[in-house]
Amino acid sequence: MILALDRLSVDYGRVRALHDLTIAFEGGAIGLLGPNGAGKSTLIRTVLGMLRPATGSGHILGMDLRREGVEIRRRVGYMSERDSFPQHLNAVQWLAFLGELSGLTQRDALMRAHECLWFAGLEEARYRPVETFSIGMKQRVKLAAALVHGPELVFLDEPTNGLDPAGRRQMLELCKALSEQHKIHTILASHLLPDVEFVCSQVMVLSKGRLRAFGPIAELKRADKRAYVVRATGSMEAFAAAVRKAGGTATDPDRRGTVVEPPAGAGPEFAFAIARSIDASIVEISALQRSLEDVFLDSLRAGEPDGAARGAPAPAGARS
Amino acid sequence: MPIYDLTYRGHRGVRSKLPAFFPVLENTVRLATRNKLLRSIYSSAAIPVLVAIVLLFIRYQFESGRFPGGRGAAREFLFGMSQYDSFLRVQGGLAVLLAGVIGSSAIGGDRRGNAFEAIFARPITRAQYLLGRFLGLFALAMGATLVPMFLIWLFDNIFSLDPDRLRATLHYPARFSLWATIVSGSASLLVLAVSSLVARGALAMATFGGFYFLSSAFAGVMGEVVSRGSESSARVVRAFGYGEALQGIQPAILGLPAAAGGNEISSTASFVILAALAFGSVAILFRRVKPIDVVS
Repeated sequence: MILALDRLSVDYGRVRALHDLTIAFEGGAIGLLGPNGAGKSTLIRTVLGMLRPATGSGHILGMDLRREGVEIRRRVGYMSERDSFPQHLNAVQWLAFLGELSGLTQRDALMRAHECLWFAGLEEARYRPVETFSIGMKQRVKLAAALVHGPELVFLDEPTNGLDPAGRRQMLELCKALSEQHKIHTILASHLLPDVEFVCSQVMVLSKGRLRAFGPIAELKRADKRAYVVRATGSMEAFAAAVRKAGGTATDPDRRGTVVEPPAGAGPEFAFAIARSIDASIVEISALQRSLEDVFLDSLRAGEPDGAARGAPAPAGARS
Repeated sequence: MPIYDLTYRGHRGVRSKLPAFFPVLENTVRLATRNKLLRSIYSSAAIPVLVAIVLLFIRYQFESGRFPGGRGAAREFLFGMSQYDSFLRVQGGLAVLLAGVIGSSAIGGDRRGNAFEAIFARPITRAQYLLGRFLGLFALAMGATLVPMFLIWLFDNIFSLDPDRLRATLHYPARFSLWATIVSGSASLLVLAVSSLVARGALAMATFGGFYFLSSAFAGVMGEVVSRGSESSARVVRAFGYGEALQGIQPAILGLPAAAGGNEISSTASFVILAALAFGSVAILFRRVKPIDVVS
């Protein structure tokens, strides 16, 4: 188990920032979704031992959150949301310093600093003072800093903040490569759904410090298992009418197909039977998939007393 | 050249055996040695040493009869603890100046750039970070205090080639060490505390300088006012100046009567004031240096 939280709560003074979180993350890449102020950064900082839980317990890489903070930080990488650089150091010096702080020898730290900056795409710019870097370059330095000590698990907090579309794409590819090619477990905190969907296979949705949804993205999207997207030969309007006549529902028929919900007790064979009845053939049938945005908004709505999701994240591509 | 390089490799190297605070100490020293002003102060710290060595050389030349004038002339170049006391004042002033110059941005620089969040995401505690910063600054300040005084004592004995002189001055290095530790330690803690409060290096330096001079002025004026009623109370009040407190501890540490140093500052009060400043500085540092700024 990479991350296991059991009824974990965190307070900022009198304000409860995280409420009774229970999570079991087996590994891979998981997206930590939530609107601004949902508690994503708080969760990461708590897991890193920067904030003390008020109640509950947790383990990360088998280590106790409350007692083994130092050892946890030795094995976990963290890319912070905010810029976090000293003055008067170039990127190599900064990363070598962080590597030494993580317990690397001076020689290894310097070597790793070069390697990680190269991996992040900084190349010759790595000898320039960090304070002179553009936003995109700073994001790359932060990513390299999170990797300099060779972590087993890395937390990436809003890694695409402030990046232009090309830079964002490159950053996401780097993040994806970490989990898929380099087998570093990745927890990506973002309020940008496309970013999470691109990098992660699992997602947890936080809102107002509470866990609203948790699981593989594909499974969450398939939550409505009884509906199918069907495309048949001939008129889709006629197909939809036949579905309705047989007791099912069919919505939005057009040339690309229609969403069919069979009557109670029936499965996908219902669509085939309807097609045969009107001398048509099924060209394509698949379980209806909700978008991640639907999953996200539904999970937020489920947590709202009046059923309305407020502070929802930017829809796909809104912040590219 | 691809924008990203997938040759990334995980790290499986050996773990450093150095204590966790050591990289911070090293970083403090490395950043300080880039400061041109630091080099100037170190050069200045060497001047009193050279002057003392020349004086000692002349003294022992007279004493050995190599220079005309004999022992009578040698007495003019007497070099006892009182003379060491004068050099200590100069070196102490330089150490405080050095701490102010290089320590003023030691913590403020990290705070200003929000570097704490990245630093404390590493396996280092707040105490280890502060210890590293303190020891780096302390070591540099000791270089401007203890090393010059030790060199003067060394040359004193080399030139004299007299076992009696060595026996008589054998306790000097220990006294110098205690004095240098107190001066360098208090100055380092104080300037780090100021740096944690004032993020901008130049402003922190000015604040530290302002504290030094204003506390001296305050102690001087108050000492003058109080001395009209009671001289013993005035001796205590004068110790409220930071510079005066540093001077006030010298006679006690060097084993000189207060008058011999021309000092009318209570040693006890000076020790108490310096201890209070040190504890206060540590408290400020632990309050101001946090992994993240929590906004509730």
